Amino acid sequence: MAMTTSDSAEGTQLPCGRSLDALWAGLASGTAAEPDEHERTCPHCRTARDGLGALLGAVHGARAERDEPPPSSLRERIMGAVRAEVRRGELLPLASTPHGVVTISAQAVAVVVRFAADTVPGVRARRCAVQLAGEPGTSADGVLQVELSLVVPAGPRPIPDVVDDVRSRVAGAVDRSVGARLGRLDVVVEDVLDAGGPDSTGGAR
Amino acid sequence: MQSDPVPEPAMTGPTAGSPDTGPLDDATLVARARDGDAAAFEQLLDRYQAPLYRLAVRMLADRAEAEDVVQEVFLRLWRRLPEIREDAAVVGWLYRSATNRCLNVIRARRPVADVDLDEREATGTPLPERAAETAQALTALGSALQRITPEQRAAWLLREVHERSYAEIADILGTSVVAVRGRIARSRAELAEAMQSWR
Repeated sequence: MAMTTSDSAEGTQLPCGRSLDALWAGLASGTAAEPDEHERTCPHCRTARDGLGALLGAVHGARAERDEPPPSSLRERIMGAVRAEVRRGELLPLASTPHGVVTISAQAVAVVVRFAADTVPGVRARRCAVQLAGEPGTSADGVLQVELSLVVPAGPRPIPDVVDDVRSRVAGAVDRSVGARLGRLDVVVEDVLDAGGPDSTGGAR
Repeated sequence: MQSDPVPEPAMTGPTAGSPDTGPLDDATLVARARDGDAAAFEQLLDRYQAPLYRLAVRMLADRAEAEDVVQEVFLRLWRRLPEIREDAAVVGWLYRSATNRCLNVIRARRPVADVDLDEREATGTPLPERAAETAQALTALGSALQRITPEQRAAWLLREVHERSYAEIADILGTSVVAVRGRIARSRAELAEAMQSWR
């Protein structure tokens, strides 16, 4: 038997007056897994339950569909294009030598800075802007100025202590890994996250 | 002050994972990717390419077109990161881009008869073996979906399969929550009808 429905202000209705949407809600939530008195005898409801039940089974199958992943070639194509367009940022002169000026990209320094900040428990570095502290060609060559935004954990340590930790680790890392001095580090605490973990991962299903 | 050439750290190494915090939240990954961190972008890609691909396959019933859509969406994200201001809501941005891209692909198609839709579904690579019942149900759902309008299909898939909220879907489709609810209710009736005759 074909399923007949009509749209009304209350939603989609079967000819017997029952609401298809309510029937679906009952089936989907499991609260109406068994037909009630009316549904056992009403041909419209029986047909609708059959159709909605089959649809629900397919929905569960589609939600759990993990066996048709995107081909790995897709990921490779996307990352290939992305890497070809990586914004390395400005080249910063670190030192003048008899062989020329030693430079490093702002992006490379940012990698070092973020990694150092991430070593403080619970801290995640976000935005990181690196530039020279002084005018190019002045004695300030090799002194960097960094702006860093952070997510910090919600306790138990006071946030200023956590930020102090970040400062000393970043300064140490810039000195050791880049060979530059950190003249200025501006830290912006953007967010405080509960120890429970990230608040916005796995949002897609 | 050091005068030796400074080796540049690898772009992919240290940022691939935070030293102690496990998976990074979306907002952090977006902020890093905006700074040009390809490894952070790669984590976003790994997190969301599969759901977007599944949405596109169901929308278009064509795997090659679905791949193109996913590729365009992620490259657009990478190139537009400096302008995008929805760090924590990047998943919404991705769903909106993918849905609209799919709708555009469908609009650009020449009108096709129902019989062509069946062929389109059949031309893809064969699906791996599933439990027979589920496989048949999913195949029936796949053909039923191609018989409702693309706008209905998008609303229904985003709600029932991808479990997005009505408000989010309204935002994605540029319409009202009331319209979205109506579209989903009509889709459900039509799909249930098609599934009933399959069974």
